[in-house]
Order: sequence, then structure tokens, then C-alpha cells
Amino acid sequence: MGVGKTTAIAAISETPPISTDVANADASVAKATTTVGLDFGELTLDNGDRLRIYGTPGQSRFDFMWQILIRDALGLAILLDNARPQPLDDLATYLDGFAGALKDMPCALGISRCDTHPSPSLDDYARALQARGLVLPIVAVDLRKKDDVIALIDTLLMQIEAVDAGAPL
Amino acid sequence: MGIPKVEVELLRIIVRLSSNLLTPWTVGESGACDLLLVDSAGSTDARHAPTAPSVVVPVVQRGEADAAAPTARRTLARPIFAEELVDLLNEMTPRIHGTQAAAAASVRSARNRDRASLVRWPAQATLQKNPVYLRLAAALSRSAQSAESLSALGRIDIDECSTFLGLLEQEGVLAWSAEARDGGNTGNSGDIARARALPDEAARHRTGLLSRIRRRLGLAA
Repeated sequence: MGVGKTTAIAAISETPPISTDVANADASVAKATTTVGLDFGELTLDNGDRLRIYGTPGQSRFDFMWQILIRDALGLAILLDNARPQPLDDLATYLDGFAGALKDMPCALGISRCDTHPSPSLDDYARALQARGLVLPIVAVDLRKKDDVIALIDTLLMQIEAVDAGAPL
Repeated sequence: MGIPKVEVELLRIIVRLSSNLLTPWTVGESGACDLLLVDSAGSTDARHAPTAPSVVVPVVQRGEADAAAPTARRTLARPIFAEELVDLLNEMTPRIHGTQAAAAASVRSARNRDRASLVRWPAQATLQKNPVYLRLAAALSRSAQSAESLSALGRIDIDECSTFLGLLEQEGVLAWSAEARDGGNTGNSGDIARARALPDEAARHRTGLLSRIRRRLGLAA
């Protein structure tokens, strides 16, 4: 929660993201509103197809939505705020919540605010994933920057293309 | 030992002091022969390759060369003359280098075709904040790839892919796949089935979709 998924979608969506933010009731997060439904943005491709980008609520009580939005998705980006009290616990929550999808869906971790909060390090995240037998791209991101968001998406595309190329794990 | 110590020293002095040798040679010991002369200009990889070239040269008494080596096999006659040894080594050089180059190319080529995947996301020290390395690692996170396939996949120079695989190997985060070496698949059968189940048309559609997404995002397609 508060990691910046609305900002990330806004960075690449060709239309302002449609958000369902409401007043934040969580005192531990310093923000006025938070997403309780979903964020939605889209990109029109050159053949008219539309790529839809959804942001799901971070709180685990909304995990029922995760399963709905993940259906038929091309990939999944888990955004984590390194300024949160226990980012590795947050990671564990998401990995549990998306455990089914992670078996075969391309996924990448975007870690924000690493510049101001260097701990846990990206290598710490890698070790946490390794303990679960997972290998996922881990990228430090500033979600306000379009290039950072695109670089994160590129790691998803590389995974998809690598599997399609014929030697998946 | 078939070659007296004094002759070994003589050979050592000749190869060290001769200014007529085409390439630098060194004298070493080997259990497989009396004396080993090594062309030091070759690459380490090629010398250690199973197919590393070598030439056996019998040392014979002067005048007995024909009897000892009735075929066209090259010999070194004793007493050993510096000019003859230099001529012999210079004669060997092109043959050895030709074979060494082929051996080195074979080693490189085999390595470029060997497939591996990540067993752990690489340390940041290995990734070096290099966006190309990030993309390559992403590809390796979910599939077994070779330097060749990575190069084709990411449209990245094969040497850079090979270098990165070397860095990953150095860090110990790669699992080499013998089965995938021949282009086969390994691991999760669900993924394999999914990949194989994609009919041509669906595969083309998917490839087209990914290309369009790349173009829309301004990524290399």
C-alpha cells in the first residue's frame, strides 16, 4: 500500500488511470487516499489492440481481487515500497497470494524508494526468493519515471519471449 | 628419462635465446613424454581443450633418422643443433596454430550453444546496473538459454551474452542444462506443454502482440 502503483500506471498509460481511491484509514501510511478497488490504464497498439494495465489493491484483505485480475494476464509486476516497516514480509504476502500464478506466469519485482531506504537490499530480496525456490527479476524503480516502469515491463517481456523461444524451465 | 639433463638444458637455452623463432616456446615437464615443448602463443583454452594439438618428435642419433622414422615423420637428431631445433619448431607453428584456432573456436562454439538458467537472481554486483544484463538475466530466470539463443532473443552481441554467462557462472547462480544443450526442453512440464501446445497461428499472434507492445513502449522490437 502506498508503493505508487497508480503513479506507475500513470507513467505509461495513454489515458489518465482510472482509480478507485478512497480516504486512507491506515495511520501507518502517510497518504490521503489509497486504492481499494483497482487502477486501470491502457495503451493502444499499432493494430488497434489495447494493452490493459491493472493495479490491484495491496492490502491482503483484497486478495480475492488478485485472483480475478491475474486471469489471462500476460505478466505480473509486484511493486514493493522499501520504506515500509517490513518490506520482506510484504513480499511474502504477495508471493503467498500469487503462488498459483507464479508457477508459470512471468513476474518481476519492482522495489521503490531504495535510494532513501537501502535496506533490505535487492540482494536480500533475491535471497528471500531463493528460499522459496523462486527466481524473479528484481529491479530498483522510481515509479514516477516512465523509463523505470518500462524497464520493469521489459523484464516481463523478456521472460515471455524466452519461454516462447522454446526452452522453458 | 630418455633425454639427458644436459640436453634438456640445451633445449631450454635454445628456445629461450633464439631470436629466429616465429612464436615464443617454453620447455616443460610431462609424464607422457621425455620433454614437452609448448608454443606459448596459443590461448589457454585451446591448449587445455581435449583436442589441443601436439606433435610427437622422436630424438634420434644423427644418421639414424631414416632407420628410426622410415616414414616422413619428423625427428630431431642429436647432437642437437640450435638451427635444426628452431627450424623444427617454426615448421610446427603454422600447423599447431591452425589446429589451436580450430580447437579454441570449437570450445567457444560449444560454450555458446550450452544452455543454462538461473537458480537465483544474480547479485547486484554481477548485474552492475547494466540494463542489458538485466534483460538477459530476466530471460534466464524462466528458461534455459545459451549465449547464441540469448543473442537472438535480445538482439544483443553474442560476446556480451557470453561474458554475462561467464559472470553468472563465476557467481555460481547458473545451472547448466545438458538436455537443453541440444535445443531440447527441461524442467516444468506445464510450461513445456504450454509452449509446445501453442499452434503456429497462436504463436505468430503472440509474437506479433509482443512486438507491438515493444514498439508501443519504445523498446527494441
